[in-house]
Amino acid sequence: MIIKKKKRKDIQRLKHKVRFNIEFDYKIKDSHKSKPQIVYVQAGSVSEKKFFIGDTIKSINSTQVKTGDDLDNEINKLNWGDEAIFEVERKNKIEKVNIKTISFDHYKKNCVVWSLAIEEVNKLIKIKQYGIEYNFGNELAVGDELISINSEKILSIRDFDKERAKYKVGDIIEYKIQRKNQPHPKTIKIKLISFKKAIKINKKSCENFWIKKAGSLMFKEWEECDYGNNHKDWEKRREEILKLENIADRFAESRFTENADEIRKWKNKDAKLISKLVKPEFKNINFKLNFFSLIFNPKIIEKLKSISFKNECCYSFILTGKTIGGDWDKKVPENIKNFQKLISIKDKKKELFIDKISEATRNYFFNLIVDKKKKLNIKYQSKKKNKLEEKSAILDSQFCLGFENITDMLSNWFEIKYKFNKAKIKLAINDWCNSFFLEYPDFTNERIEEIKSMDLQETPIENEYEDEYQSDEKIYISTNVKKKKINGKDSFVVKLTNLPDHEFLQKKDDLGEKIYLKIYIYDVTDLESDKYYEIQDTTGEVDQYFSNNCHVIKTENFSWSEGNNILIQSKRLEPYGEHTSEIAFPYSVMQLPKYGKRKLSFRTFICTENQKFSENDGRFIFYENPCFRPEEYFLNSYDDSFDEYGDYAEILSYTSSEIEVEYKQPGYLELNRIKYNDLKIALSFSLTQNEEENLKGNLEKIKEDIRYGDSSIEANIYKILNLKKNYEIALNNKIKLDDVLKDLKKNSVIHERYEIIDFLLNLATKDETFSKKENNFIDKVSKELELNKEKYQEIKKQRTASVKFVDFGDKTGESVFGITKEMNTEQKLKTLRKEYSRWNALTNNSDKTIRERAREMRDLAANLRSQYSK
Amino acid sequence: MNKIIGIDLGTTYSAIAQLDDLGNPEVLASTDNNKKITASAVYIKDDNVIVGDKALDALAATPKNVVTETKRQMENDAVYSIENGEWIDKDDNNNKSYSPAQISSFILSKLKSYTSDIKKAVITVPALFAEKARVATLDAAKMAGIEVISLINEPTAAACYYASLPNVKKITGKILVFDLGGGTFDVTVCDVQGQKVEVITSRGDKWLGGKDFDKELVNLMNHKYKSTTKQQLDLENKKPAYMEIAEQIKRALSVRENHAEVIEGPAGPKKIEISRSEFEQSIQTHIEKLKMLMEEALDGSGLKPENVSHTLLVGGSTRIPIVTKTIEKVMKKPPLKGVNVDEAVAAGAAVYAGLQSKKSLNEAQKQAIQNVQLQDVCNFYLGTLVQEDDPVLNRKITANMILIDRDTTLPATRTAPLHTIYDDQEAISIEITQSEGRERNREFVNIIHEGRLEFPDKKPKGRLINVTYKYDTSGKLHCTFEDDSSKKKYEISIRPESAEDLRKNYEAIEHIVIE
Repeated sequence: MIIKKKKRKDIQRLKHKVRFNIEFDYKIKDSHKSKPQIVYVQAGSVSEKKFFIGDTIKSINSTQVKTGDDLDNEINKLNWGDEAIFEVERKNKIEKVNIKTISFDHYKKNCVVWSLAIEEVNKLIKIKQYGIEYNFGNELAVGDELISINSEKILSIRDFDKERAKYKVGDIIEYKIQRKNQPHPKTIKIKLISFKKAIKINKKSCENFWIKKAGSLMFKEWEECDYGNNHKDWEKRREEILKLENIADRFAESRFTENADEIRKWKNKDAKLISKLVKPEFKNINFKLNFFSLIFNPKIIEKLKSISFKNECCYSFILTGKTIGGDWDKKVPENIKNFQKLISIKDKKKELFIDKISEATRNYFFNLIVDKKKKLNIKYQSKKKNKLEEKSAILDSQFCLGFENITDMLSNWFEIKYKFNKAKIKLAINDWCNSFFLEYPDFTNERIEEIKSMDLQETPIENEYEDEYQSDEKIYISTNVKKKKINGKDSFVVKLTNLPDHEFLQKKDDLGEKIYLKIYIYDVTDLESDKYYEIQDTTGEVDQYFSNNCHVIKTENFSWSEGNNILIQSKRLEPYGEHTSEIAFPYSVMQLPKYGKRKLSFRTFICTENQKFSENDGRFIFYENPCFRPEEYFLNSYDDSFDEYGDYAEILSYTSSEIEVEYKQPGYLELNRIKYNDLKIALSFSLTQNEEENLKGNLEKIKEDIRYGDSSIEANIYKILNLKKNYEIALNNKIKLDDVLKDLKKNSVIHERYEIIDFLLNLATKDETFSKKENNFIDKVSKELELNKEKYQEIKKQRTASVKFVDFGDKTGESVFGITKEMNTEQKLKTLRKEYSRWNALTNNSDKTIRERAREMRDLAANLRSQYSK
Repeated sequence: MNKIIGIDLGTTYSAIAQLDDLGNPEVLASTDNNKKITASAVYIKDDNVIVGDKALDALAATPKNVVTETKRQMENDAVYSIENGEWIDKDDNNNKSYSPAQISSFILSKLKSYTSDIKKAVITVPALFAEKARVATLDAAKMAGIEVISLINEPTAAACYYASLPNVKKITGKILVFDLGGGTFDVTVCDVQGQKVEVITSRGDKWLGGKDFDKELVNLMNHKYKSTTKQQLDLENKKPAYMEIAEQIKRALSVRENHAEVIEGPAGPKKIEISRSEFEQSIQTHIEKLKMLMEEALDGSGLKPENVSHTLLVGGSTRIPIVTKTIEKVMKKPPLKGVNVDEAVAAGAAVYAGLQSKKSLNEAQKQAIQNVQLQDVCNFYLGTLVQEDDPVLNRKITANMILIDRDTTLPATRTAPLHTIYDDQEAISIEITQSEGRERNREFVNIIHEGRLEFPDKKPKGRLINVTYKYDTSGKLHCTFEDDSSKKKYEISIRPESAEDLRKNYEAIEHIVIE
């Protein structure tokens, strides 16, 4: 049986439809056939205590409604501030409900945004989707099981709706979530936000979205469709917009290059996406059609028209490849110029008049011509001295393929007409192609003039006719850098293009030269062009300026570093080896010089193995000194190329890409290493403050661990004096722990704080015991240094697993398991079950000491829990 | 004809069952006293060994010569020293000492003597028995001259028995098997559909059972004796005897509210009365453990108490009223009764033995168990040690990388790519790990095998090594570490028979007469 969908009558909608903070028991796609039964009424809304879960709306303002669509149509007739009279079926009775709507602004402030969708899978309630509004991060994942909200068990979608209905904006709720393969459920606490705040968060997120254009388009469209309310499938549209840059990039790549991305070969779904993301006037163009269909498309003619000067026409150039006054071939029309009207098209047999045939017929005819590589005869209208004339021309279809012919010929036009170099051509073509898309600016003559005045480096696009390498054997790599998650780690990814090809590398290899790719990162935030020019004009000490204001990114991770902890990715480019086109730098390994918003420059070198780099700052060595050419090149926008005079023979190519980042810990320049070590000594001594024997015992260990930079005599003397001073202060119980911790927080990076904890635990357990006092001390340090609680417990568990616990008294359990007074009974029970479980799992450990400790701790956890669960 | 046998080798009691001619599991009675359960106690004096209740009788007089709770030592490098009368660390100089496998072999030999023509058997082990303890069990069987078809987890065996019962259709859905024996506790959640049993998860405590309750009772007896006489009981020398009395009190308190016993102590005999509530109070910590493990099993299987249709009881300690009350509280419904809790495991093992050796069955036996199907899971996390970056500590650490997750349905195969971290690395060391928890710390996992894969050539860092773990239904783990470029492999099947140890052990006991 075929069910005909009832056609919805189009109604003039308000910009922001009237809302009642209620939800119904059907999906949007079923709204035409489902009755409007209420499943959710938001607490604190205009509908609270007026509507109830289970009510079915029967009429609104005396108009009967049977389906969700009926109701929607009627609500669309309302204005904000109107009063609506509903009839609802409640417990088999009909009741009247009057609701006065207030304003959209009132609604925005009071509507709770949950940002969470659930589904029922195998009788379990699982997370189907969640939004950005609550910044759940890794706390939540699609597929997690939702166990409860504020301890109320969620066993069905209805339970979820019922529970949600209890809360207002600003209420704090706790989700209990169980992740697959995780031993215990976890709790996520959130403060419910309003729709107004959610809009703000979305706006900010769109603004910060790495594809700025997509972000701005997304927010604009979201707002326009009443925040997704007036869109038939907003989620789908959202996905489409996210692909904007990708599609625009591919579109711009469609020209005759080695790896041409020809639109006519695109998958249909991708090609369809073009029509959804281009500006409205280009929506109906099928970019998969052949060259003739596209070039005779009025919209494309219009677009080309906007960038052609009066007497010179890129359109005719694209058709014929000839400029006015150029080297004319007699077989092609002499003067197709401006944008003259096409009258007819014909092959040898028949002539079709454009006005009399459909677009489809025309396209079909063009296909025949192109497929058979025939000549195309056209007649067009020419205007000469205000007189219209009919003219003929023959166009060659030999090399006519698709959209790429247009961009390719347009490239030539830019080269011939404007004398653009290859870099400028590439930019102009990209801009022209992008200008088809929403959110991208139109391509105008002004833009051409702008490009003309730019000083762009000559970076040739691949030229299939250029077989030989240029005499200086330079290659032209290019890069861009983006933020991306790699293997779950937040990273910067440098995308490399135009890497040297295998033949080139082989040629070098034959000459005994090994070629390397090296990427160093520098913080260029503090480099200023004005300052640089000023110094150049006055003292001329620009090297010092660069050295003081541009610092390399470092790492303490051995496997990522070279020289003086300099972060580097270095790879040999072997002939016929596999060369990755993306290189990642995880945030976690990076040490920036300064705190806050920083601009990083990813400097990529293709060089021979003979090129040396400084061990101190990673700069390349030129005449035995670090060279600041990359800084100069970065600031001096008038330079055509990095190696203008061919000075750097071992550097075959250089490029850099910049990106901004927020660094949330003190930079390495800001850290005072001496201060850090001073504080570490003070903290270590305060562990056993006022205990002479223990202080003596720890002295050697502290002495061994602390390193003041080098091992010079001066550093050693300083260390000894400092140890002595702190030892004496500690002996008199005068180390002020709170001050030490406060200072340490300012002078240590995260991993150093963990190192300190590790060290303190080592000190505390060196006598094979761990006392309550030591435990409390280290707990406090961990708390003050804001360490991750779980990670800290993990380290503590590891370090204390095989030592004896002493002096804990009756409260051993509480101290060891991190039970605090602030916890409620449920939290205590939960923590103790977790502890019992982890220790119980260790009772078969092959290490006897750990095994015995595990049994002891397991009993301790169970004993404590039995007391709390009484 | 070789019989199809299942053996429940318990901490305090053991049992042996066979499939009768009609395919029904039948627990065999002891030839000594006609009881269907045999005390897992071994009396050793010179070359004479007595197993069972008679050995228990000797406990009061010669406690050092009686070995009990051997099962709890199966995973340890310990030996029982007759001289010391206790389990001590294994040492080459230990004279007159016996490994846990040797003692267990005496028990198995005794059980084997209840019937003739035994060659092959299925032996049950606690679900969370570590690899070492499983290997020791296999060694014990070998020493007793029993060929083990397979080891099976105790709760799984019990579920298998329930599934084989003729009226099994009544028990269907998600089932929780609560197995509280003398020394170990296992709680297993399975999905039973008809006679098909699919294990979902198991949790347990290898040091939780009736014996622990007895110890608490002994402490209570001591406390009461002391408060009456101002003197303590001689726990150092007479603990086994007090433990026996405690067990009697425990049994009595399972059926009545109060019980009095005359206790012999340094101040002479005193009548001590203990109430059920005092006993229950004394074992609160252990009861809490039962609760937590049930909750863990429910969480691990993603179920709520209301999703579980029945709780099945296994093990003698489930007769204690507070245990069933606790189950009722956690599961929100009373457990299912009606099956002999002492015999279900052995009977289930016999059914499983039948399933594993269908060729040896007669038609009636085949018919009886033809629809029983069993699907078990891996009870441990299996992994390997790797070097990885710790972004928090900002350095490379040795971490445990898990390949096969706990509760993965068997058989399971998992492959993971690993890469070398140094240029020109010559080899990789291989450490195969097993852990009960999802552990990343190397200190907290058991390394069950160590090896080394050497590379035939030098390559830059990043050389690909494909690691494959296969865990079969019999609980054997097959691991392969393959160098992708040279295809050179390191392969190992874990569950090796500890050949050298076994030979020595066997030589040590071959002249012993078991009574």
